[in-house]
Amino acid sequence: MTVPIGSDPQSPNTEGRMEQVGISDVPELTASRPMRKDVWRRFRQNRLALAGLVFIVFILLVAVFADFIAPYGFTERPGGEAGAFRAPPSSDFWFGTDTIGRDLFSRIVYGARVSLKIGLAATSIALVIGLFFGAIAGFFGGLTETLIMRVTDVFLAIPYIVLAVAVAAVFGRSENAIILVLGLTGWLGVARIVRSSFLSLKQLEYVEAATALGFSRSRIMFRHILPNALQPIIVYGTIAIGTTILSEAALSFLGVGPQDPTPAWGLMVAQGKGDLANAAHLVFFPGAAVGLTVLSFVLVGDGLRDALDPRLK
Amino acid sequence: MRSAMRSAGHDEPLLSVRDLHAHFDTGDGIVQAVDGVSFDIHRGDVFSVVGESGSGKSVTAMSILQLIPTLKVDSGEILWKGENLLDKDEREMGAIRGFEIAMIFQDPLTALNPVHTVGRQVGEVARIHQGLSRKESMKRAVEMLDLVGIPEPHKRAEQYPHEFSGGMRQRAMIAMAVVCDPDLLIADEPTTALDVTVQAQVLEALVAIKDEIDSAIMLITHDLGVVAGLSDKVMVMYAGRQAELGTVDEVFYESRHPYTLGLIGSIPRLDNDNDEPLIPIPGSPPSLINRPSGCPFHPRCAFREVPGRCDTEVPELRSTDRENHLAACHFSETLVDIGLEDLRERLDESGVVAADTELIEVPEA
Repeated sequence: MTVPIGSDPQSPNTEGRMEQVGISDVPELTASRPMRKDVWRRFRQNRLALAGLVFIVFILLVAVFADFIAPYGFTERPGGEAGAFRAPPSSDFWFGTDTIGRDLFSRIVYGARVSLKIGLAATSIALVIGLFFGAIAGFFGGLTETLIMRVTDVFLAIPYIVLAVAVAAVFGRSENAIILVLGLTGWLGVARIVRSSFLSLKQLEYVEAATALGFSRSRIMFRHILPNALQPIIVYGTIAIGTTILSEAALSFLGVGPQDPTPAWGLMVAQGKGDLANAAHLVFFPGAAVGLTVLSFVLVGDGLRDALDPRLK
Repeated sequence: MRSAMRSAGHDEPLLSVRDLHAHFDTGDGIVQAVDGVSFDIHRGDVFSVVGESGSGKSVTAMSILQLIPTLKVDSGEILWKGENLLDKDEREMGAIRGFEIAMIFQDPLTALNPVHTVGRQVGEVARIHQGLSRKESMKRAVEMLDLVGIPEPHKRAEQYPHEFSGGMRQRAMIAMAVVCDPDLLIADEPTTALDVTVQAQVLEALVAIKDEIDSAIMLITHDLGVVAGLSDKVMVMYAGRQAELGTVDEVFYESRHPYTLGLIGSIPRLDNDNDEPLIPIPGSPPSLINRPSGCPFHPRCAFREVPGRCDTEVPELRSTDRENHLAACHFSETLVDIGLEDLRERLDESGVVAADTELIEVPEA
C-alpha cells in the first residue's frame, strides 16, 4: 500500500492547505464533554431514581458480603430442634425466625444473592437473544423479519407460568431452571424494541456511508447501528431486572421455583403465608425485600430514560 | 503493485460504463431511472454529472457501487479496470467499496456515526481494508485528518462528530473516503449542505487530494459554478438519459443541447451587467414512469419541432462537430452559435409554457 504524500504533517503541501482554511471553518476548540457526564448530571437531579440506585448498590453489597453480614447460615437453626419457631423480631433475631426456627434476617440476606443472580442472569439471556434476533429482523427485513416476528408471536402466546411448570417438571425445581424459563420468555420484548430501532436507524445515511466504505453487514449491524439503539435497551433491561425478580418471586410463591432450603424471597413469602395472622413478619420482611428491590430497578430505569433522552421529559 | 498499474495506461479508462439501463419497481409502475448511459472516467479526471433533481445522476453513481438494493440493472456493463462490477458478488464488492472506489456523501451531518469518535471512524476504514491494528489505524486517521486540512488533528480525532462544524465534518468524510488511496472518488453533491464560504474550501481540498493520491473524481452536483471551476468533463443528464457529454468548455460555451442551454440560462451570473432576467426552463422534469414520447425534453424545449421528429423519435447521443463532444438532440447542428438571447427569443416564440408539461404525470417522489 502506498502512503499518500502529505502524511508528514510538516510537508509543505499540507501547510499550504492549512492556510486555506478560512476563519469561519475553525470553531473554537471546547473541552470535550463526554455524554456519560451529561447523563449522570441529569440522572442525579431525579431524587427517586437516585434513591433507587442507592438501594440497588446496597442490595448488591449485601449479596456480595452476605457471608459477613448474616449472623447465621441460611439453613442454620440457631435454637436447635427446640429453638424459637416464628419468634417475632428481637435483638437476637432482627427479623424474627421462620416456621422451623431459622433466622429470617440471615435468610433474607442470602436471598439477595438468589434474587439478583436470577434477575441478572435471566435478563442477560433475554438481552442477548433479543438483541440478536431483533437486530437481524430489523436489519434484513423481508422474509427473515416475518419469520422471526412470527416466532416471537408464538412465544408471546405461551404464558410463562405454564412454561415454568413444564420446565420444572422436566428439569426439576432449581434456580437454573427458573433462569432458563425467565430468559427464554423475556427476550420477546427486547427483540421488538431492537427491531423497531433498527428499522429506523438502518435508513440513516451513516449506515449507507458505512456500506459504501465496504464494511461488512455484521459490522454495520453490531458496531454501527447497535450502539445507536442502546438507549431504549438500557432502560428496558434495567426495568427488566426488576420485573424478572418479581416473576421469580411469583414462581417461587407458586411452588415452581427453587426448593427449600434455597433462600428465595418468594419462597419465604409462600412458606409464611399460613401464619399471616400470628406471625406477619414471615411475610412482611421477604415481601418488603422483593418490593423494594423491584421498585428500585424500575425507578432507576425510569431515571435512565429521562437522563438518556432529555427530550422525553 | 498498484502504482505499476497506475502508470500502465492513462489511455485505458479507469471506469467505463457501457449502455447502462436500470429501473426501480414501484407500486405505480416501472421507473426507468437510468436509460442507456455510457461514459468513461480516466485517472486524473474530474468528471461532473449535472442535471435537475430526479434526472438520474445520483442513481447512476450509486449503481456503480451497487448501493441501492431496490435498483434493478437490466443491461449494460460497468467496467472497472476492465472487470464488470455487475458480475461481482456482495463480498467482492465489499472489497472494492472504500478501498478502490470511495464515496463522499451529501450531508456530513448525517453520514457520520454519532456514537463513535471521528478518528475511530476514519481509522476503521484502514482497519478493514488494510488490516491495521487499532493503534496504527488511529495514527493513520490523524494523518488523514491533517491531510484534509483539519487543524489540531490529534485533538480532533478524539472528538465526536457533533463537536465538528459542517465544513469540518465534510472534511472528515473526505478523510474517510481517501484513507485507502482509492482510485475513484464519487462525490454526491458534497457541498450542498455547507455554507457557501466553506464550499469552495472543501472542494479545493477534494481536488488537491485527488492529485495527491492520483485518483479520479466523479462529482455529482447541480451547481454549475462548481462544475465550471473544477471539472475536466461534464455529463448533462435528463430523465435518466444523457443529454450532452463533453469537456467543460464544449458543454458550457458551445452547448449543443437545448436542455444544457436552459440550465445555463437559469443561473444568475455575476458577470452579466445588463440586468437581464433569468431564463427559467418552463415546467418540471417528466415522470420516469410515463415518459413523453420521442425526446424526453421536447415538452419543455424552445427549439422543438412538434409535430415532427422531436415527439416521435428518441434522439441518439451522437458526436457533434467534435468527436468527443456528444449531444442527444435531433437538431444539435442548428444550435451552433446559439446564445442565451436566442434562447429567450425562441422561448417566447415557441409558446412553450409550463402548462404543456403538466399533461405529463409527475412522480410524487
